[in-house]
Amino acid sequence: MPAEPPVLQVADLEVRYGRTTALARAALTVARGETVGVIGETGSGKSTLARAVVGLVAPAAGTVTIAGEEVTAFSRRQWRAFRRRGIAQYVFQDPLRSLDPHLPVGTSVAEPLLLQGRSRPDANAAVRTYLERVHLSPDLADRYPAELSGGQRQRVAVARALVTDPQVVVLDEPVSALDAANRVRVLEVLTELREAGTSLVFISHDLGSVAGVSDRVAVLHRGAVVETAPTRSIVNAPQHPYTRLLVGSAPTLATGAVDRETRAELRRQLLTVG
Amino acid sequence: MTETVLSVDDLHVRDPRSGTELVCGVSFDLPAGGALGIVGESGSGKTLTCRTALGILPAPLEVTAGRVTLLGRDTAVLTEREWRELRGRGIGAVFQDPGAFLNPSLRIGSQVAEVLRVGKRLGRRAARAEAVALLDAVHLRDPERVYRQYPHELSGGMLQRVVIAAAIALDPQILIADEATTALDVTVQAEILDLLADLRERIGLALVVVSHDLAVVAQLCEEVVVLRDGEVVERGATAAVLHEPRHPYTRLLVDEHNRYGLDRYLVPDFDDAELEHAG
Repeated sequence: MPAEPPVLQVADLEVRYGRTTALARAALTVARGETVGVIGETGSGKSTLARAVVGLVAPAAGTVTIAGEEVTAFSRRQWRAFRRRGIAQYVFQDPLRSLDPHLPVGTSVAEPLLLQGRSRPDANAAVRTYLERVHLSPDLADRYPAELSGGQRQRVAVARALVTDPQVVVLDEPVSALDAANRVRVLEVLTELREAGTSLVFISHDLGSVAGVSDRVAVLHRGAVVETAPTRSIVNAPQHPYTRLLVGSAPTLATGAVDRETRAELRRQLLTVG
Repeated sequence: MTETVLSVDDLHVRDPRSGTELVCGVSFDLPAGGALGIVGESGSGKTLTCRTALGILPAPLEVTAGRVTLLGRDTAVLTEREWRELRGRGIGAVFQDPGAFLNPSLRIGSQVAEVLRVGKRLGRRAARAEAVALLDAVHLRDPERVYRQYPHELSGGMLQRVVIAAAIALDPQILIADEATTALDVTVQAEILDLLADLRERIGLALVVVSHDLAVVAQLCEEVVVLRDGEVVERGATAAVLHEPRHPYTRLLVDEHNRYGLDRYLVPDFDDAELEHAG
């Protein structure tokens, strides 16, 4: 029997903005039920990767396949139809981007279902279920985004992403705008989703957050995935010079960052490896 | 005995609008050349305590009890003029967003030189030379070029170096770094943490490091105070507090750090044979 196809496959993806290559030969595979972290710093192309998977930027080359459908070949109309089915959902850094400030948050969460033609009582029941799933009181459904904390809003955005029972959820810096306590609440929700078998792509510059939630980590540097490995291997035995620089720069409770000579040496190696 | 450069003694800060006490009896001492970490979540009073020490408590908040002694002077009786003298010369600060402290329409160099012209009464040329030397001291490559650049031309890490250069321009003895590396990429954070440790070693700068990241405090500070809801719940040597926390709240912070941080995955003797690289 052939193995189950991945829920997300990115192959040789290249994105250019004018003369700048934002993403070059990016590759990423997410199996069903897997949580894959994508770690990258400013300018690594991580937001471009998220935007390309969402269909917000058109790649110059390569393919993105979601649940067996090659979305990079879609026309605009096909994209609209695909989005309506809610097979892939997205959560951004700023939940205000996905939540309409003029609507009670319950309405925003229900919206993807109403667009699919589901009845209002049906959608409302789902809103309650998914708000509870992200540990929010269903009573919050009547509140407006401005009445919630940043962490509550981000959990509402996650509930909205889940309501169509997607095969994969892409999260772009979902906890970066949150304070420490709210960050932990959102990461706990993501951990539960992972344990429940939802496939997640968790994109962030914060190695700690990514490591805490992901089965595997892909390291993005200058538009290319330079290393992909199980989280434990990435943290304990990074191979690529950039991954070693990244992991070595992060202090832990046990040890500080590696010294500056080691980091300078890794930077030198990076110049030769590219 | 080492001289204490900053002493906070039973500080109480209140919001008169709601009558709530936001800082309730915080005390700590910072020795000359020492490094003290303050950890706690938002609303714990970390930033308000630092703002009091800098004399920039936002109105209408007020100090209702306690004492802040800065370089031997009781700050409660300082005039606005004396405060201006102490700020910069005695104590400096850097915050999370370096962009907020720089004027976007002025060149970097003129903003650092201005601090020197006003604070040290240097002439134009001397201020320029010293500003370039400061940009060099915070390890900005090609300081002459940075001198002529505008804030939007620099990365976040470079801007934070510029702000640190301005903060140490008048040779203060204390620098408060309030979430100063929170918004930076981790490889850039490592450079800034090195710079702070370097300044401490080179010019004896005493540091107050406010961070939500326990690992940052662990790297820089030998003493730490843990704040919750305006109160100190635990204090002591950093290694002892973070590795053997006694208060349940500190244990919670350490536990959360371990669950969503690298420490969770670190194996002391990771065997390369375990490697299963998926390419």
